Amino acid sequence: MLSADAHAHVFEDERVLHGRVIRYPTATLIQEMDRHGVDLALVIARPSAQLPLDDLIQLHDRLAADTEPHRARLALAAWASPRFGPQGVQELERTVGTLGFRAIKLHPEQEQFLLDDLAVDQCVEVAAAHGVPVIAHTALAVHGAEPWRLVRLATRHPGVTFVMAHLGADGGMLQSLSAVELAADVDNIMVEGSATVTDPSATYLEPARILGPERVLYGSNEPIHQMALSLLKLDLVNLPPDWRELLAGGNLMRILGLADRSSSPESQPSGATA
Amino acid sequence: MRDGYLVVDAHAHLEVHPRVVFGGRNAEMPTERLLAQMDACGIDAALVIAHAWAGWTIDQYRAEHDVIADEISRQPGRLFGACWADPTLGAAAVRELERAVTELGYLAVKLHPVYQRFVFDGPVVTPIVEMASKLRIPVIAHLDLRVPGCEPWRMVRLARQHPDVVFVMAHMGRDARSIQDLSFAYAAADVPNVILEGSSTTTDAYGTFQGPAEVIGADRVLFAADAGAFHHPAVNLLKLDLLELDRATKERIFGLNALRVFNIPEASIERTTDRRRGVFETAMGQQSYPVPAGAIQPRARLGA
Repeated sequence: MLSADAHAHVFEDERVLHGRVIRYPTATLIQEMDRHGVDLALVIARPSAQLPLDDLIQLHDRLAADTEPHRARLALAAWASPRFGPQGVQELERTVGTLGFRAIKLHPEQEQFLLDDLAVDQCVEVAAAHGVPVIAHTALAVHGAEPWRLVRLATRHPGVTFVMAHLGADGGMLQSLSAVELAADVDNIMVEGSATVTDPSATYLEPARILGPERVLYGSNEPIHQMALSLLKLDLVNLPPDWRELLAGGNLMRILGLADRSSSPESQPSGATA
Repeated sequence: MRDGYLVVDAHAHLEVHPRVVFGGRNAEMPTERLLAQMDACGIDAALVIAHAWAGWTIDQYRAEHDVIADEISRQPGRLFGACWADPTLGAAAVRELERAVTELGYLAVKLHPVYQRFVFDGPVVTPIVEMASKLRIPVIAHLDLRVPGCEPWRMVRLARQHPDVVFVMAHMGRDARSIQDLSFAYAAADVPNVILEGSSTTTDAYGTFQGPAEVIGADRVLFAADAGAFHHPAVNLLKLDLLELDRATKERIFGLNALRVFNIPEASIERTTDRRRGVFETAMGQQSYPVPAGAIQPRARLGA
C-alpha cells in the first residue's frame, strides 16, 4: 500500500519559527520517510516570515533545487499570497507551470489576509488553470483563517480542489467534527489532519465516514510535528482496507496527478510490524 | 510500565453509560475498556476525572461522584479519582467537594469554566479553591484561550493568589500555537504552584513535553492522555517515546510527578507488564515506530 504525506516542510538552513530553532534538510525528511515507510511527501514551501517577492522567488528556486535529487519521492507546493498582486500571480505561474510544483499553499495566518477575500481569487485561478489543488492553512482561533471562510472560497471556485489543512487547528472543533461538517457543505474541499489533537477517530474515521474516504488525507506537518504520531493515529482507527488505501496515500496521489505511480512493493501498515 | 518507567495518566475519564456528545459521538468508556487500554499501553495507573456537563444540578454531581467512586474502588492500585465542581452552585458545590474528598476518597478537583460558564479567577471560584486548600488537594482546570473568562493566564493569576494550592493546567492551555511556542509554559514559569499537563494536545512532541520541561522544570510537567472514548493514550505515550530525554526527566514526566502532585503512594500502584518503547497495539496489529524521532526542533534560546 502506498503511503503519502500531504503536509511536510524542509529547511535546509537553520532558522527560527514559532520560537523554535529549525533545521530540517531534505535528506532528513527522506530519512524519516524511509524510517516510517512513507513513499511520497508533499513539501510545502515555508517562509518563516512575510518575505519580499524576490526572496520568495529565491525560496521557491532553492526548494526546487534542494529537492531535485528526490523528485520521485517529493512533490512541491508553492507559497501564495494576495499581497503580491499580479507579480505574485506570475510567480505562481512560474512555480506551477515551469518548475513543476503540484500545489499552491495559502497561509492566511502568516500572510495576514482573509481566506475568502476576493483578492485571493487571483491565486486560486492559477491553480484552476493548471489543475492543481490549493492547500489552505485553517485555524479557528485566527481571524481570517477560520474554516468557514474556506467554504466561501471553495464555493466561488467549484472546479478547484481545496485542502483544509489542520481541520481548523482547534481541539474542540476537531472533537465536535465541526470542520468536517463545514467541508460537507461543498464537494471540492478535502480535509487533512496534521497538527491536530490526540483524537484518532475525529482525525480520520469520522471525516471519512461523513465526507467519504476519498476526501480525507494523511499529513504530518513535519518537522514541528512528528510523522510517527500522525501515522500512529491512522493505525489506531479501524478503517476498511480500501478506505485506508485512500487516506494513507491514494487520495494525495490522485489530487497531485500522480495516481499512475505504482504502489510501494512493501505493502505494510504505517508502523513496522513489531 | 513503559520502557522501564512507571506510567500514570493524569487525566482519564470513564463514562459507564452511553452518552451522545459533540454532535453524535458516543462518549461511553466503561471501566473494562479503559483498563484494557491501559494494560495494552503500559499505563500503570490513571487519575479518573469524574465528568460533568453543562447545566448539571448538584444532585447530578453527587450521582456522578458516587458512580465513579464505586468504579474506582473496584480497581485499587490502578484507578484514582478527581471530582468535579461547579462554583456557580455555591455552598452546595463546596459541600459536595468536601464530601467527595473526605468520604469518597477523591484526590483532586476539576474545574471547567467553559462548560459551567464562570470567570476562572473570579470571586465565584474562591470558596472552591479555599476548600481545596483546606483539603490539601490540587485544582485541575480545562481552560480555553478563545473563551472570555477561561483564558489560561487566569490560572497563573489565581495561583499567585493561592500559593498553597497546586493548580494543574489541563491540555497545556489547549491552544495549538501556544503549545508550539510554549507560551503557557513561559507564563507559568515563575509561579511554582502551576503544573502543566499534556492531554488532548497536538502531534508536537517537543511542545507537549520536552519544551515545557525545559522552561518550567521537569518536576512540573505531567504525562496525561485524556483517555476515554475519544483520545487515545498511545499518541501521547509515543511522544515521550520519541523524545531523547534523560532518565530522570522521563520518569518524572511519565509518572513520578503525578504521584507527588496527587499524593499517591508509589507502593500502592499495581504495575503492568513493561511495554517496549515505540511499540503499540493498533487496529493494524502490533506496530513499531522508530524511536527516537529523526529530528526534534528545540526552542530558540535567548540571544539565538
